Amino acid sequence: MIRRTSAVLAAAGLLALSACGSSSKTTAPATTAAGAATTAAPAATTTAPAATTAAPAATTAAAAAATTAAPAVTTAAPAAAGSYKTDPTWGGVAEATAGDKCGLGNGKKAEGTPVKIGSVSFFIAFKDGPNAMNAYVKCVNDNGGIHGRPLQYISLDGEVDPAKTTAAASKLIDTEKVVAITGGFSLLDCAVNGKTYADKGYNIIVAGVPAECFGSPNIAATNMGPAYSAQGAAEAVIRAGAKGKLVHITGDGPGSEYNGTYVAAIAKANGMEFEDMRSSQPDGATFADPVTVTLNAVKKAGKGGGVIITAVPPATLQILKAAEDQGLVGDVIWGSATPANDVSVAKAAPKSFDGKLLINAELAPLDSNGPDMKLIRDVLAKYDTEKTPLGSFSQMGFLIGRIIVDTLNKMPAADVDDKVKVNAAIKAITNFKTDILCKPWYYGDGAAHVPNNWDLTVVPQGGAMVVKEKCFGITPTDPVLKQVRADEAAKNLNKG
Amino acid sequence: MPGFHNLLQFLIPGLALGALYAVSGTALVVLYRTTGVLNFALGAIGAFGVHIAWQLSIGPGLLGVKTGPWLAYLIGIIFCAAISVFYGRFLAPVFAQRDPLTRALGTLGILLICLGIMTWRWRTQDARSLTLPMKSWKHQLGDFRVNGTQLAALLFGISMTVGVATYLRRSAMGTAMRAVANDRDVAALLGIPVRRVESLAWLFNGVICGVVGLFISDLQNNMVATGLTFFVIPAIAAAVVGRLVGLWATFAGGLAIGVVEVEASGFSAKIVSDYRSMVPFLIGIGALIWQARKRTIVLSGRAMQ
Repeated sequence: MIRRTSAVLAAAGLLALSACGSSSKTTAPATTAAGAATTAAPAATTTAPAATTAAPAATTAAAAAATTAAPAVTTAAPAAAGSYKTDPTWGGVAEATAGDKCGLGNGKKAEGTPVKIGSVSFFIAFKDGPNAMNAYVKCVNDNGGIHGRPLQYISLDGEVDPAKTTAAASKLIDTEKVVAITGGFSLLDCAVNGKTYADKGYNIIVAGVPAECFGSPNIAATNMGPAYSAQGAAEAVIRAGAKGKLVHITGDGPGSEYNGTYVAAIAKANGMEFEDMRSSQPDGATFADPVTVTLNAVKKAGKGGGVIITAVPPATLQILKAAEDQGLVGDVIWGSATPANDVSVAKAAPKSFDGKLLINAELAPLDSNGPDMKLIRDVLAKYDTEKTPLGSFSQMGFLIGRIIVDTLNKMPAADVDDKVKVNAAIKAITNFKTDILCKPWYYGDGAAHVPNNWDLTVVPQGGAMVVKEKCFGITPTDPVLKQVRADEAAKNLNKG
Repeated sequence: MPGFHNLLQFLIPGLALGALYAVSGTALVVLYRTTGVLNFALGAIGAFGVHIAWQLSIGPGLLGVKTGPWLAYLIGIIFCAAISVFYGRFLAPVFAQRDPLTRALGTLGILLICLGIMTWRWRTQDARSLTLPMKSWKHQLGDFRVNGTQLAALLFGISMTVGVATYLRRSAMGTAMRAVANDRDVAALLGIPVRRVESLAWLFNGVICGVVGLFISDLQNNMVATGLTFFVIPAIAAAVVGRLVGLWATFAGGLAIGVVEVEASGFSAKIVSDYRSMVPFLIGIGALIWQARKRTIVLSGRAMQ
């Protein structure tokens, strides 16, 4: 009796402990993720003006009209907007400011006192990003480093813990005395450490998730974040003919209310209703009850409405499979933010979704062949010891590496240890061309930064991702993006 | 607030999920009654079996070998049984004379090892799925489509509980298991092969882990190791309802948890749907409070009610 009672109590206690662990894991990411896309040439490309100044409703309505005539039509052509080569298969940049080699590319091993840079990330979800950047830094150090000196990239794990995230930033700033904070992939870093970085004079480069990564004067990301990406998906869904209501499905992690912000805005601009469904993800990666989430979402959207998913690949797949099981694939038009642009989703998605899941892609198709894309494949193959796959995260990390190395090597050798000068140089970056993005990347002195604000649409087709819509500009529905577009036009930030 | 129609349409998926909680709870109870070990690794072992089955039938294969789906499922279940028996035969005896909490913590070690290997070998960021062949059978019930996996899970849960209860009551091995459960030392003195009986209980536990893992993965479209591992929580809650003794109370507890969980997710009120994952805890704690209504005072090892 005593034995049994104590066992029951032990079970109850451990059950409660498990509950604590479970709830803490709900803080895991629900956003940006890996990507893979095969470039099947879209049907046609039209030259539409960059969507910088047009009113949102008008822009999307015009695009919708174009789509009616020819579904796989691109809404914008970046070639008209800048003086750089574009890739005809997906509409992005086709050249690289940093060339086609790592750093100086001289084959000489770097020697001497290292130049220190660092960042705070959330390893469990985003390790591919720091891994790719680390691999690139190794390659740079085999090719002359920073003016002959090695570059040391210190990547720390802040988990989803504000205290650890703060401590990691303090270590980088006060102990390691890094000259730049670049390469962070975190759910919390921008929000928790943003002010500290600003106070200490750092202009940081990240791949970000929360709103703070896209609305601060001293933070710029190589991705566009979940809210703009979901908006891009919503725009594609509207162009494909969705009517009535848009429903946005996402997890319930910290800051997840941000994910659907601009889907709501684009719905309103197009006279549609909107509903945000944030659902429980006990393990941080999957929905607790995908079938009811899917049923409810489709029911709320109504026949011919649109459902947009912003979730990591396993959770997205749950929704797709539930929709197929319940016979709901044809009831609404489906869209997804960038995370679904992933090889594993393409392979595992039900065949009934072939061509029917409009996925917003923030970065180049993985089989594209510009100089940066060729280099990242080589770098990962030769320098990455963790077998990191080529995907959106690794593209983002590699790109941050390219930007900071190029910036440091263009500075006078005597200045690369001067934190003030390094961060001034980062702020001065404009027109950084890379075939990983639709448009050149920049930092600039804006009050907010969304330098990656053009993207494309891909769809799963026969086990791969194919390009559905070439690069198009996200419609500015909020003051931040409107200001960003105005700055781009006025200051020649990304015209090449 | 969903109408009666909505409540009805979520009943079958709720019962299917509840049946899997129930049969898992039953496996926990049988193992506990026989060996005194509460197996916290049930979900993790099942998840490992699912990943093995996926690797063999859908993934790139294992050691260069790919198989058809049924053989892959079988290998996955055998793998789960092997882990379970290995632990029961070689590691559990180390803790046999320790208190129940220590014995349970031993299985947490297995859980962590399984979870570590899975997250290392199969990236949690990737989308994977394993669809059982019976899922292709579908029947429209209102707005909801019932599928073959849900019915199979429900039938499996009921038949296993009935079968186990009957086996424990009627067979010689069942009698031996009950004898070991009552008093391990006395049973050994009576000539009952205690180690063999315990191994059988571990084997049963491992097989249930494997089968339930396959069902739950298909029902939830979920192949993330952590998600499947936490499946043990409602199973433990069901076992707590049965006070780690009663198979039918455990079965009822499992069904109740499954049905309430799924029905709660159908509520449009976020206060209900967002906290659906609390259901196992609420039912488990409710059962503990109900069971504790008769106060038991323990004095020098003797219980007085």
